[in-house]
Amino acid sequence: MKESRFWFLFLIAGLVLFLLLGYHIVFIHLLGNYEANISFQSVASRSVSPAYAVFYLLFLVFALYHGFYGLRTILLEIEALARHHRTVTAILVVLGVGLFVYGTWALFAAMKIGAVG
Amino acid sequence: MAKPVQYNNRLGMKGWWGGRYGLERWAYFLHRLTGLVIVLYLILHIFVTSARVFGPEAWEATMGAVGGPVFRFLEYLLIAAITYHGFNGLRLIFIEWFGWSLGRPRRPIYPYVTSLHHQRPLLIGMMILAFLFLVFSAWGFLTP
Amino acid sequence: MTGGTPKPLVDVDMDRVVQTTTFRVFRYNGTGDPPTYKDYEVPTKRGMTVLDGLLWIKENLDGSLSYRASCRMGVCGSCAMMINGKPRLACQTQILDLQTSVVVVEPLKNYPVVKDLVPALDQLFEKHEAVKPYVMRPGEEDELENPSGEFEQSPEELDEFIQFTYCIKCGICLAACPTVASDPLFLGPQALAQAYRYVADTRDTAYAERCDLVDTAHGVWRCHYAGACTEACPKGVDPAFAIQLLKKKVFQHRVLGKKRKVARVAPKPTGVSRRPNVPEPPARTVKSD
Repeated sequence: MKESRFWFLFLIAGLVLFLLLGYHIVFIHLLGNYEANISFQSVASRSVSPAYAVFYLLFLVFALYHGFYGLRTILLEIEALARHHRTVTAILVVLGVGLFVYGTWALFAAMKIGAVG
Repeated sequence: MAKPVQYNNRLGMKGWWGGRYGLERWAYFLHRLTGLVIVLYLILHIFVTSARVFGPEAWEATMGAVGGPVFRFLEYLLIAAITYHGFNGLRLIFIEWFGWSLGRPRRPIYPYVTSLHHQRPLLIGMMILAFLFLVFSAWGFLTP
Repeated sequence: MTGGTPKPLVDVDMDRVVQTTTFRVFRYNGTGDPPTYKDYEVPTKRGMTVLDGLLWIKENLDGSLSYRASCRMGVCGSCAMMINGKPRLACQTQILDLQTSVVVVEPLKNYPVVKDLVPALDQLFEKHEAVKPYVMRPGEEDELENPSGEFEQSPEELDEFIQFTYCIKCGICLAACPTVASDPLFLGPQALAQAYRYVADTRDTAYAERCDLVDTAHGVWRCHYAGACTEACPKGVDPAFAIQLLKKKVFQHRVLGKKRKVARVAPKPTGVSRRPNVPEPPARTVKSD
């Protein structure tokens, strides 16, 4: 795939993040009672909601893609790494996919424990 | 006679610093810096929030470790970084994807009017929006 | 009022020395010894440029000082150098405009230094060459070799790229660019602006090839609109603008599959004859092989 497609996805992900992250920051960190928002009770209640699961999954995908493409951009512009762009890309893909798998696992595992809390 | 040797004058990563250049170059530097901070935080955030899987005790222990006024202040700085990155990023999407707000190509007649002059109101507007959002978030932070 | 010469309202005496400027000049002997800075005191008159100062030093203080200069009027692009931390043309920068008594003069950043203020500009020309800066019409090479007429291009179509044809290849934009500073493989503002100049030129039909050429890991996407190249450009070419327009074109071509208008060869006028007093053009002097 040509660089332009990756870059295009990077911009789309950035736009989506602007909305998702805006929502996340305003409703978790700013509005309401922060202490209550991050209590286990509140977190567990969000974890079992399918709507939140979809939200977090989208968030995870777009944030990881945007973040890791951005990181790749910075790394590729470093003189020592510029000539090894395949290696840099491969390492970042492995890391990114690893984090995605871990995050998704946590998401689904948390859906089950929600009832416990 | 000595063999000619060229002196390496490449700036390297030092060249990312804004230096004596204009606003856009500083916007670029800050965008890069905040982006790096946010991606490192994202990785951390994935691990921290996964603690909920291991039950209420693990969750409370993790939240306790990253609680307190110092972390709350760092969290505010992070929101500031995200806000800046978001609003400046929106400007960059307008410019890099759609070519908006840059004017049209024209014959260069002195004094030169460039695309930088054309998009500067957009840059300043975005910074005002980011500032307003940060004032709003400070208010959200001070009233728990 | 009696006697004395009336003082003119504006001091227009161009020969009067108005300040003594210290030129702190980067010196490198070209043999691998570490570079040093050497100070020269230059009596400064109104209108004197940094290049005038360097010429004065070479004539009066130190004949071993090396720098490049030719036209001394901002056309040839030879005298680009770092003046007080920013890349500028020495011949277009007046000493008094800098509003300081110390002028730091260094060779252009991001280029290897040959000696003193002389940079090796190889990468500039190699990158310029890499984007094929000439009109290409794949499949119509014969028309370019033996033209049967001119290409039809409207003034509006010309306006789309004429700004970027004013580039004088001084290399200042590469010294200003933060990506060039750390990434030696990045094509750089000069070459990418020229790539856009031919992508936007309707006489050129190698649109797809040109898009492929810059659509790489170290191509057009490594520009982040820091704008330093545009700020520094002494000719108002605005390379940063050209690169954003190039991104748009590559995006349209690659993602949307959009075609670009192509200029056709203007048909020969019919029903007219040559006036008898207009001579035929001379025979070609360049042989095509």
